[in-house]
Amino acid sequence: MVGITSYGAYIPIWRLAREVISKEWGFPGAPGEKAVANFDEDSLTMGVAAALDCLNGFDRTSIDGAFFATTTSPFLERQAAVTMAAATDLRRDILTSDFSDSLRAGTQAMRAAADAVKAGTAKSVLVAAADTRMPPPRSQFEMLFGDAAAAVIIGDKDVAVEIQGFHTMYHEISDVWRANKDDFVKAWEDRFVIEEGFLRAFNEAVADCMKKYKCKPADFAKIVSYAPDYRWHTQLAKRLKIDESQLQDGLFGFVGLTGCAHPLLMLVGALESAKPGDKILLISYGNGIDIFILQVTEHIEKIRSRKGLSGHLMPKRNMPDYATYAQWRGIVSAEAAARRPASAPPSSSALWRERDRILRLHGGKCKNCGTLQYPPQRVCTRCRGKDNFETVRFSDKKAKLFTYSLDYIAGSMDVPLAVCIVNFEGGGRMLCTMTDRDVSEIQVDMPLEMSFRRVNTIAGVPNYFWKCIPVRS
Amino acid sequence: MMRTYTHIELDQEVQSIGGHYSLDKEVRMPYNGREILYIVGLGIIDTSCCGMGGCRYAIVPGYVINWKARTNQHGLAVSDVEPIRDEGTRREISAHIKKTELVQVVDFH
Amino acid sequence: MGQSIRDKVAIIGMGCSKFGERWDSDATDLMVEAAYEAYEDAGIDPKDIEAAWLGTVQSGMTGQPAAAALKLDYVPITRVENACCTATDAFRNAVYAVAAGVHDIVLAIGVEKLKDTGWTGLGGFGLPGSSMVEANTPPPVQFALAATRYSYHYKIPMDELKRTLARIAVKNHKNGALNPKAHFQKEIKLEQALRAPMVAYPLGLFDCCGVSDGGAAAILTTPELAKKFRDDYVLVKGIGMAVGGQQGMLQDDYDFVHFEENVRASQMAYKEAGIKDPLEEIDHAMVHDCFTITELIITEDLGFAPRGKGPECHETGMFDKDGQLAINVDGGLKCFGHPIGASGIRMIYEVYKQLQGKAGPRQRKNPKLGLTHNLGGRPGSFTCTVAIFGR
Repeated sequence: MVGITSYGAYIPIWRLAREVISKEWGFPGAPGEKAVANFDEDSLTMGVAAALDCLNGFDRTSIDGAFFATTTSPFLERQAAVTMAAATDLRRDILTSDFSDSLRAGTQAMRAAADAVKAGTAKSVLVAAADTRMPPPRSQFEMLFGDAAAAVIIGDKDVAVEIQGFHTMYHEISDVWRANKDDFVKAWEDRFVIEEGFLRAFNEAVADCMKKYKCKPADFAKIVSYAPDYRWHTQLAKRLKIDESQLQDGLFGFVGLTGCAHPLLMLVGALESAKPGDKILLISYGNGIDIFILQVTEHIEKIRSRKGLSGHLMPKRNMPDYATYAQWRGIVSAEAAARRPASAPPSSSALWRERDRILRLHGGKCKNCGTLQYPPQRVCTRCRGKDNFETVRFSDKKAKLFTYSLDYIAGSMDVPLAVCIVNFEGGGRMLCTMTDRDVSEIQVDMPLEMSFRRVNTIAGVPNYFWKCIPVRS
Repeated sequence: MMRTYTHIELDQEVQSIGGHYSLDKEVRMPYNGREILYIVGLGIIDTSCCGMGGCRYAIVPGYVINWKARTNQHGLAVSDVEPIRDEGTRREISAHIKKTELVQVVDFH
Repeated sequence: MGQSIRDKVAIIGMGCSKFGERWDSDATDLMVEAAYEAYEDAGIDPKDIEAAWLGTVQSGMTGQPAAAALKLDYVPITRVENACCTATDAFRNAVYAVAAGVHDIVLAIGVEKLKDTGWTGLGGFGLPGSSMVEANTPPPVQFALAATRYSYHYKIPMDELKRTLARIAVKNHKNGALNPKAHFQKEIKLEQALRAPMVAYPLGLFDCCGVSDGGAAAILTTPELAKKFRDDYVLVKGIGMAVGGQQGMLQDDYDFVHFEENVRASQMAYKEAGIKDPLEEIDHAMVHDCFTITELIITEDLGFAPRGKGPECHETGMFDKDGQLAINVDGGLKCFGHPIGASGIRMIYEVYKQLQGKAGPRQRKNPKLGLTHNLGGRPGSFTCTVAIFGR
């Protein structure tokens, strides 16, 4: 049996009320809010966060594939799945692949993972999908698009959700696109996009799939389906002749449409309340349709201890204004006003040499005196034992704030910059900055966890490292 | 606990080796049946060892007990205030001030 | 263990430039200003200099800038860089050369021209060729970590601690107002310091030092030769130095409320100088008040106040200009700013003048021993020098 053996999700803590956008542009007000990645987040960091949620309780050495799906990779040439595999501290002899260019990238990665497991190429493949699609400012897309990530592990042991069927169909149409040099997502006019794009493909593929597997939509406990917006999503129930309660929530009200992560994120939502035996239909759209026929097993009960979708809905923080959003998303920049020397770009050779301590957050434990130290040392700080360490991963350790300061004049983006000395549970400490924080909540001894972030972008090249965040629960 | 608050002149530039600032105003804000004193300043940090910056900020000495009760030897007015130590109250007041004033930081003394 | 440096080397002349925003002066001007004051003070001819040590962090490489500025005639010159201890370390190496008997008369000179960079601040933006993943944490941010922890550790409410820190700033500004060579010569009121904007919480504008240009120089010789130049030469009584190896960052039990390097360096210097009770025996101390919290912690680390009692001791006024042990009687970094390569010798300049009774309105009564202290780095790993001087 091949299927989903674990799931996880990540939604940034920040929300932008649609009211703020409509006020900025003088639009009629729209209800709800959307999730917005912090200035130090991108699709890769969110993918890592969802992957870590999904790996909770999993032996990481058992994973032998890492697939990353996004339409907004930080690189056009350089595999993001590889960075994700390193940040999640996976083995090096595993399959890695990026799936891109389509909103179906998430379900296509899932399909490829299932095929690999079926073929015996891999036993357990991690699939993460994340997107931070850029809507044109002052557009309906700006109201609609949110940022998030979701992840699943596909395997053949202890399967919690069996993949019972799969149907696909491509649909060649220029409805929504972003060309090589475009900054923002573009679309043809609405009626065409919906009627000749989504609806035509949806109707055709769903009918074919039902015929192929001799079933009907009403047979499913939950139908998890992409839709181009809130209005069309609510109409799906009628179209499929199912009860509204069978239709999984589209997340438009409080997360937004999250690109290729959206079908997986909704699926995670469905699995959180699914019972063993439930049948689920998963439908994604993007230049075609992918449909999965899924059935939940009794193993679902054993993988409940993750944050998932529900654990990331609260707590949340509201972004104060549009200017903050515009700065985070790079629509405007305050960097030009900075009166400090331009930073030198990171050295690729230094990054490579220090890759384990940077991406995997590896430190060392002295085998002689037991002192945990970060970054890794050649000679022990306490007993001077030479090259006698075992590797310790700090990225998933709980931590406490030992002391901190707030830098009010260092930069233009994250003021005040919270600089922290973090002591890890079980030993070891590091200096790092705190992100996703409210200044008033910062105090000595507060519980912290580590989060993988894009720490800077110099000369267009993003650079990644770990920061601490207040424990999100 | 009571503490004195010595009023320094408003709109007067105070110089330091690393920059300068001036206080714009003193505000007595009603809060839960009592009165809170806060002051608003504008700082320019232009030659400090830490870089450059500037901000409008607020400082909250506390609840007003006696307003400008006396003058000190330098001729400056002195009030009695009760410092605010409770974190919850601080958060609330901080949010309130940030709503009415364009300040980057609210600090409690 | 080697021998103590006590009474083996004498200072016979010193010079110190005016510190400040010296837009019209370059490093050469600052070196000439400091060195020629020292030559004149010592009564020597520049060609008497047999060797020199140049301390500078970013105003030149090799010993050549000093040779070129002062036209030293093919003598050996070593350039020294050791962060905020640069000047004192240049001085220290010059002292050892005299004590070794290799040279009779040498020059230790420190200089820094900071105001030509076009930006403010002391850098800290990541060395080229690094991975650049660590946050840029300039000095105030690093020292603020100690202030936050000090409040927590000793259960002193932050607003109380800030009063103590403001009081330290008030003291140093009061002293600096009496010093014509200082960059900033204005007294401040406690209330003014308290209401200043935040730089790096919990440190405000008056808790931090500024960026200045300056130079300072010392002429050293043996005590025997010193007598030929003047009666009131000043003797080196002890030098201590401790260099951290990131212990405080690697070992999670480091407390952030004391700086071990201060303790080690001062103990070493006290041992050399034969000091048993520093509070009783030392008359004045120029310490590295890059931030007010630094001075507070130094006060305890150097044994002038018991642990956790630094605030109380400062409140009593015992470290004021006319207190039991005057700290930063020249105004400190607060008033001089911190031209990194010059600061240490600038401090020695004040001690030298105090011990000669030539400190003008800042003069202490019959001082016997004076101390200088520098600290470079960040809580968790410092370079620290402590030097003690007497007659």
